[in-house]
Amino acid sequence: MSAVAAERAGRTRLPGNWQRRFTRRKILAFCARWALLGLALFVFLTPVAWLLLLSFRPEAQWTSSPPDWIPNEWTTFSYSHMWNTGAEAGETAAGGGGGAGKIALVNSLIITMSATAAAMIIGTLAAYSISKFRTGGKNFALWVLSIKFLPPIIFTIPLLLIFSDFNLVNTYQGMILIYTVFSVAFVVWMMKGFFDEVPRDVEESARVDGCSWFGTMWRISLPLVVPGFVAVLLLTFIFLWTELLFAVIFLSGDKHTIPVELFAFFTPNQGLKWGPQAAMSVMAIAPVLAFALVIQKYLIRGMTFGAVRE
Amino acid sequence: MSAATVNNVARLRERIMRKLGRGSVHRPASRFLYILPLIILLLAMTVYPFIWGLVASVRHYRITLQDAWVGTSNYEAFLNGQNDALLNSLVKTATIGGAALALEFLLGSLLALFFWHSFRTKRFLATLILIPMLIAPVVVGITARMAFNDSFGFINQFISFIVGRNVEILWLADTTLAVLAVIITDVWQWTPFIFLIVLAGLIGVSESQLEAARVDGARWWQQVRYIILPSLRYVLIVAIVIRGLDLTKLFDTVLMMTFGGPGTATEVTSLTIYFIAFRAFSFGAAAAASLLYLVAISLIVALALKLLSSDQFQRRESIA
Repeated sequence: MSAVAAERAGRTRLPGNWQRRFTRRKILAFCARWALLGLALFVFLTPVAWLLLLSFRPEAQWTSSPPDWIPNEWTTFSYSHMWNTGAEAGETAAGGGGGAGKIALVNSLIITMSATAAAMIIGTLAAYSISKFRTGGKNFALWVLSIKFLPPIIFTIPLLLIFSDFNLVNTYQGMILIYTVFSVAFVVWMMKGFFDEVPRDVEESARVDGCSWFGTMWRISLPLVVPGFVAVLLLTFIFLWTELLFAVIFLSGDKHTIPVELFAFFTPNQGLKWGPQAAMSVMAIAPVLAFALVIQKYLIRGMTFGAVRE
Repeated sequence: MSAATVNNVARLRERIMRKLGRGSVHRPASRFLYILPLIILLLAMTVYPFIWGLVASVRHYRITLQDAWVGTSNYEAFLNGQNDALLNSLVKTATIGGAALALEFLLGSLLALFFWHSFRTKRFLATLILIPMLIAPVVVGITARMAFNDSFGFINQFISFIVGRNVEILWLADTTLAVLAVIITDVWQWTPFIFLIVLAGLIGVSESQLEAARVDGARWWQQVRYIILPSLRYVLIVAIVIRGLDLTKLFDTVLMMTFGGPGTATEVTSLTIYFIAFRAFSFGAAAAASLLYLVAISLIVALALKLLSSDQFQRRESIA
C-alpha cells in the first residue's frame, strides 16, 4: 500500500522509469545494506590490519598506550629480529625452546611438505580403491573419517610414550609420521568424493582397451580429478602448516616449527617481543592466504568434508 | 581324504576367492593392495596407541617411571570429584562452545541473508570476509591476546572511543570477561565459515518459489521462515555438527590467548589434559582423562558420521 503511495508521490518528482528504481524505501535498503557490509568488513579485517601494522612498528610503539596504529617510522626490524634471532631458547611447557625464524621456516617446510606428500600418495591410493571397489565397505570409510573428527589430544599421550620407546620424539621422521596419519583421513575422504564423480564408462572403456587397474587410475581417473587433487593437497598443507598441538608436544630445540616458535615467545625470559611475534605471525599466515586464493572454489567443500559444495 | 572333504575344500576355496573378488573384472583382488599402506599406518598410529592408552590409564604412570598398577583409581579420581579438573573443563568447553556456536550461527546466517543478492555479483567481498577463518588459530590467539590487553589493546581503545571516556577493562584478568573474550575471538574467526556455508545453501533456494510468495504478498520474514529456512536445513545441520566438533578440539587459540587462565577460567578440556600430562607429568591420569573425554564426545562424532554418509543428504546435495 504505502509503497504504491510512495511510487505515486515519486512520479510527480522523478522523470521516466526512475520512480520505479529509486523509491525512498529502496534507497534506504541500499544504504543499510552497504553500511552493514562496511561494518562487517571493518570488524573482520581490523585485527588483521592491526597485526600487519604492528609488524612494521618500531620497538617503542609495540606497547604504546593507547595504541598507535600507524608506525612513526616504518621499519623491518621485527622481521630481521624474527628471522635471525627469534624467540631465545625459553622453556615451553613441554620443555622446548625457540630459535631463529629461518630455522623454524625450514623445519616447517620439511615436515609439512613431506607429510603432505606421504598423505596424498597413501590417501589417494586408498581413496581410489574405496571409491571404485567399495573396499572395506561403508564402515571402513567412516572409521577413517572418525580419526579426523576426534580431538587429537586423546592420541598424544599414548603416542608420546610409544615414540619415546622408539626414539622418535623430536625427530623429523616422527613428526612426519604423525602428520601423515592425522591428515590422511581428510585426503581419503575428499579424494573418494572426487573419484566418485568420474564416470564409470570412461574407466571401463580403458579397461576394455587393455589398461590395467593401476594404469586406469594413473592415466584416466587421476588426470580427470587434478583440480580436486591440487585443492586437497593445498588444504592438507594449510592444516599441517599451522598445527600446534602435536608440534608443541613432540618437537623442541632445533626441530621446532613456526607455531612452536610462536608459542616459545610467551616465556618469562622473553619480555614483550610483540613486534617479532607479529612478524612471524605474518610469515605463518602469508602462504595460507595465498593458497586459499588459488583454491577458493574448493574451500567450502574442503572445510565441510565434501558435505557442502558451491 | 574323502571325496566329500575335497568337495567341501573346493567349495570353501571358491567362496574365499569370490569374497576376495579374484578373477572378477569389477572387483580385482589388487584393491586390497591400494589400501594396505593406509591400514598399516592406521593400525600402528591409532589402534596401537589407543590400546596403549587403555593400559596406561590403569597405571600410575609418571615421567619418573614410578610405574605401578593402580586399577581404576585414575578414573575414579575424575568421576567422584576428587580431581575436579576434568569436570570443570568439560563445563568450560560446553559453555564456550555452546555460546560461540549459537552466536556464530545467528550472525553468520543473518549476514548471509542480508548479502545474499549482493554477493552474487561481488564475489571478492565474500573473499575478504573469509580471511579470519584462514588465519591460523595460533596467530588468532596471539592477536587476541594483544587486542584484549588492558593498556595497549585496541578493543579498549574502541570502547573508549564509543563511550567517549577512557576505559580500562581488564579483559584477560577477570574470570568472566576472559571467557567472554575467548568466545568473542572464536565468533570473530568462525562466523565467516557459517556465513559461507549458508551462502552456498542459499544458492539452492528456489527463486520461483520466492517470486510466487512475493506475488502473494509474503513479507520478508515470512519468506525466510517458510521458504528459505526449510531449504537450508541440510547445510545448517552440517555446519552445526562440523563447528561443534571443531569446538571440542579448541586448544591453540586458548593456549596462546590466556593459557587457560586466569586460574582455570578458560581451561577447556584439551588444555586440561595437556596440563595434567605436561605440568603434573601424570601420564596415567591424562590417559584416563583422554578416554573419558572420548566417551563424552563420541555421541557427537557418531551423529556427524551418520550425517555425512547419509543417503538422503547425499541425494539432496546432488539435486542442489
